[in-house]
Amino acid sequence: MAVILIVEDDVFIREVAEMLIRDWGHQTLCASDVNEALAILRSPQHIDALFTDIYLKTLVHGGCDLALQAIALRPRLRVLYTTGNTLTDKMKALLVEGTHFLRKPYTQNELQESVKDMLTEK
Amino acid sequence: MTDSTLTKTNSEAVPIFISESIASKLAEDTLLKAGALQSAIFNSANFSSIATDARGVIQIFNVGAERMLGYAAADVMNKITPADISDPQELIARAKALSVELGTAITPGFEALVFKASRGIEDIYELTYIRKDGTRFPAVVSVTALRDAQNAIIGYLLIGTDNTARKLAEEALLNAGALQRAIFNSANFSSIATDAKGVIQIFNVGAERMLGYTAADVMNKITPADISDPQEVIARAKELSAELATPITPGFEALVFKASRGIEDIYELTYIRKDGSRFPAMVSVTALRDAQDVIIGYLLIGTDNTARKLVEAEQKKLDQRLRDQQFYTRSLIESNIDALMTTDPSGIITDVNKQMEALTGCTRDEMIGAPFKDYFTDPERAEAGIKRVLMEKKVTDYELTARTRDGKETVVSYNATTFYDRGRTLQGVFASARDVTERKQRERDALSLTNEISHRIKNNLQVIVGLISYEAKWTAAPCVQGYKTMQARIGAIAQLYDLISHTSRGQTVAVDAYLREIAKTMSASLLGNMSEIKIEVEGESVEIDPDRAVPFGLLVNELTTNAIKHAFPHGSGRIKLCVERAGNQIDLVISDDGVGMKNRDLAKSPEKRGSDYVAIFVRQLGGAIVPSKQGPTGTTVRIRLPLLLVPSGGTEPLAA
Repeated sequence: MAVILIVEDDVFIREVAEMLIRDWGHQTLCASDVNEALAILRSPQHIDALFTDIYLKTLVHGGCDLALQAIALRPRLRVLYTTGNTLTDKMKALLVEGTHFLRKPYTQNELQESVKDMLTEK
Repeated sequence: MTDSTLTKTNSEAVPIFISESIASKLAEDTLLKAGALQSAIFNSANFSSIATDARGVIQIFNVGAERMLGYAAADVMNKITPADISDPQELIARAKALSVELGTAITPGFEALVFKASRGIEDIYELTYIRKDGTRFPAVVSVTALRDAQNAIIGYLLIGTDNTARKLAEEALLNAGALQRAIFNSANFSSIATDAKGVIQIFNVGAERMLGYTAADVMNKITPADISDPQEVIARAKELSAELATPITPGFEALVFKASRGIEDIYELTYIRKDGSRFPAMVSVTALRDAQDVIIGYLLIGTDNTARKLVEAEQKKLDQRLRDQQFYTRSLIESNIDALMTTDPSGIITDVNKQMEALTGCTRDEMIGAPFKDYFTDPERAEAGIKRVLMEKKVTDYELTARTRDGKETVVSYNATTFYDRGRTLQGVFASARDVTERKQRERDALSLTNEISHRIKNNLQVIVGLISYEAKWTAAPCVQGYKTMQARIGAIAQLYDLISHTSRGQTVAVDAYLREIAKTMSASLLGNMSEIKIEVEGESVEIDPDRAVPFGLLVNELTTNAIKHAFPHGSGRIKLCVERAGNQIDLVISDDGVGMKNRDLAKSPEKRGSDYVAIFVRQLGGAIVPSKQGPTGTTVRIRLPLLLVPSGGTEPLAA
């Protein structure tokens, strides 16, 4: 089972995601913005994967920037992005290579598939 | 030749050098006196001196003869006579004329050249000599008989000068005379000659024709000033007084003053006809002088300038019109809100307007002659644009970013075409650039707004989906499927929202692409990667309006969900989504190769609700379900819809 950092500025969405992911047997950590997430990523805490929203508070590409910094800090980290917005070419260029993407709104089945994919592949 | 001898000729003394045998017989004193002149002539390259013996055979052929005739002395001495280098026709004619004149038969040959001289008659005549190369020239030849002490003829001397220059001058003089006469007699020139005081003495036909007076009307009566515009005469007098710093009377003096001072004078003057009408004339004035150079009168030669004036006036009008036209064209170019520019085929700027100056921060002079690409942030793209225009003759909406010297950037959209001259020869490219900075900003703003709204909508839907997930967690197992279906429908609406924006082409949505997107998202959300149930799409390219794209998508979602749920109890099979065009309608066909309707348990309530939804969406889209023959296996649902570009008349609310 894995340790997954969930970054989502909407508390309800974040907590439902945490609940579902924990139900599948994983351990979760959570942050509501880039800075909180980076603080956790810089800590000695073991983390296997990052599940982040792209649009974080006012930062349109906040999740993309976060993932890039996270990978710089922890090169073996796995990443799953989510957003309700259409992925533009500009956004695609910002995604860390070999990572996964989940469109909002996602059902628990979709989230489960995506988390499974993220943790098994790479 | 070692010595020289002088002999007295038939008329004037013509000094000559002759052969040694004759020399001793001549007086030494004469020799001394005339020696200098003789030697000058004989050695001159400008005189041909040819001496012959009594029979005419050439004995001496001087340098002048050699130069003029092209023979060397050795070529002719003791070989030929001067007749052999003269025009034979002239010799014949001369012989004939002399025979008649002197009443004796003269042979056409050397005799004809020297006969008069042999008779002691002074003889200078014109003769055409023929050069060694066959060319000819006119010569004036003076012939003298050479005699011994006993006065017996021992030879002849022919001194010739090349007459070409004189001939030409004579011809020119003749021509000039003819010209003068032609002018004086021409009806197109008015020639008016006056006495020194200006009183008309001669009034030629041209003057009569132009001015309407007969010569008798004016001769000895008036001066040319009397038939000239008085205002102009006054003005001319004033001008000349100022120019020459001497008071000049407004009258005839004003017309001839310059000529009287020996200054060439041609001017425009308005003559007044006998009937009072006027015409512009170009007048040339010459003073006529006597042998002592005293002015005895004036000659005024005039030409009617009306035609020229008209042409000039017309030309002026045309010039003005051309200037007006150019101004108009230029003002159109300059008042255009777009930055306009022309380049030659190699991309060198040939013209720009003010807006282009503003765009680049450079002056027109700076830009003309410079490469177009230099004024953009991406010169390669700018150059590629020009190449594309040359290739395709037209390019629209080609975006470039112009940069001024101080770094200010403006995003512009170019429309450009090639242009040609009248001969259809390619001249270059005409391009207009519109500042799209504001449009770009609006697009960016609209995009951020769309993103923001999309983000909120999707988050809200996510909250709803989350709420359902939360409910499902605590609900008894038989109900979970219902929650999941609900989540799927919410997901479908969210996805349709995105798909519509992906597949919309302006005002319409491409159905085939839309179906493919729906199939992809449904496979991902309902089936997962490992599923053996596959969704395929077969679509004609049909467009639907975005208003109906959501119910259309939900309809597809509903039917496909049903198939996934019920057609494949063994977990594998194929679902086909298809649109076919049927005249003014389209058929949406959802088919599967599953167990078929008969084998489905229709009593189940969620299935019933699904059917209700299908019926609602079909009604909303203004269509109908077409009964399909069902085989032993598989299910086909065919729904006929009106061409979906027609706005929907359905008023049913979305049931999902």
